[in-house]
Amino acid sequence: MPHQSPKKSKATKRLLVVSILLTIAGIITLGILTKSRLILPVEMAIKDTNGHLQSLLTNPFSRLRQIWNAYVVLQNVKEENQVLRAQLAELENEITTYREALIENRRLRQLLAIKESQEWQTKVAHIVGTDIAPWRAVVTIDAGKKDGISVDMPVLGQGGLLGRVIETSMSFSKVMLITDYHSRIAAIVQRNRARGILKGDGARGCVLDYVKKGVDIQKGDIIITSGLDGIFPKGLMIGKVKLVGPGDKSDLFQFIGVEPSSRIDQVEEVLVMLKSPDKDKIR
Amino acid sequence: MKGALVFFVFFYFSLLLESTWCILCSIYFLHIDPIPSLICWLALTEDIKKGMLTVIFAGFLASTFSSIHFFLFPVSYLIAFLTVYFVRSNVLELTKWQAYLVTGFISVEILVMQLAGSGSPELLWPWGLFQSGLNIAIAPLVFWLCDKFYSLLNELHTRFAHEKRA
Repeated sequence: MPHQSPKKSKATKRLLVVSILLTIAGIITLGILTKSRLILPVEMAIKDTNGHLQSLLTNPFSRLRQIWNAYVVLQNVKEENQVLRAQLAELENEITTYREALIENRRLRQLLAIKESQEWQTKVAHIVGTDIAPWRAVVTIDAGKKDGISVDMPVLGQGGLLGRVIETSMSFSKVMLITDYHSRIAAIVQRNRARGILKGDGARGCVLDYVKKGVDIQKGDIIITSGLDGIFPKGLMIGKVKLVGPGDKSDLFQFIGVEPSSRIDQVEEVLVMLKSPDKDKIR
Repeated sequence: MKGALVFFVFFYFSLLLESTWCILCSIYFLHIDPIPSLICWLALTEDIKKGMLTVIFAGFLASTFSSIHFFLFPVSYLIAFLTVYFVRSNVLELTKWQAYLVTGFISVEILVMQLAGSGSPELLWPWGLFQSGLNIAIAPLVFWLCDKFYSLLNELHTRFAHEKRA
């Protein structure tokens, strides 16, 4: 192999560094211009490999948590039993009332010839990982394109809405939780139908924004999806009002803190609503 | 090349742990993050060509574990790497404790880029600075582990070379 002169080798090194920097600049420009992630097949394969390794690491962790939870539950089982019995009696009464309302609703619908809302197919998935940027409330689930998952599908947790799918690979998907800074959901207050936009606070709660001062909002009010965003179907439980404040004097809107009904930090299984969102169908 | 290998093994392992078991060792946004220490260690060990390629590749790999824009990781890691490399080549020969401090500085650099780029710059104060402090605190452990693994690789390589010659 012919030897390169030191001058020439220095020039090659410089050329290499410049070309690397130019490549990075190109990627940045492309990223800014397209304003979206370029999901390449290689990236998808890497994501699937990551997901499988994350599942391996998460399984023993969730087993440990199950054992721990079972132990804690056993400690308080007697007290909890009494509380649950009282709740059961209360709920039985409520069920009777709701059953009556349901029958009445069906009868009225038949009268008005309104079609029943379409049933959503669902897919159960497990959370296998979280985002490495801790300020993002994004989780990875073990269901992807091959399971029929696509971007913008609503995801439910125990108790209510959890988030929506933002990225998919073959076997895994990323779900942006409702508590994420960038999450925006069209929501209404169930009691008085006041509309607002539900934003994540980046930690464990949400804020219902754009509700005018003077609108009657009370602590404990239930917040549901309005369906106006075209992503989430109308009527999904989001959470309850935890805090109501007037905000600053200059503010046009109230401050409404919302506690999600899904216990976001303890969720292990989720339900993905598979039917692709269609504005006409979901309202 | 051995430096890059050591970096890469620890880096990928860190990513896996941060994305799965991180919930066990995190308070609010604060968490154990060995990545800035690893970048600092790599910049003090490896030459510029291999080091740059390694951090760029590592950045793209990290972006597959996150939903923030995919160029933020490679660019922030590259800038952090070049900062340490510049200090090492042109300013002073870093002692261990100085290297730990530099880890803190590049942690701030990385966080500024990633937080601003992902639309949450307000989190830098005070959370980002506390995170950098934590990164300085764990830097000695990360450096120690990397040094041990690196010397082990060197030893294995020397033994293998001797056996081959014999």
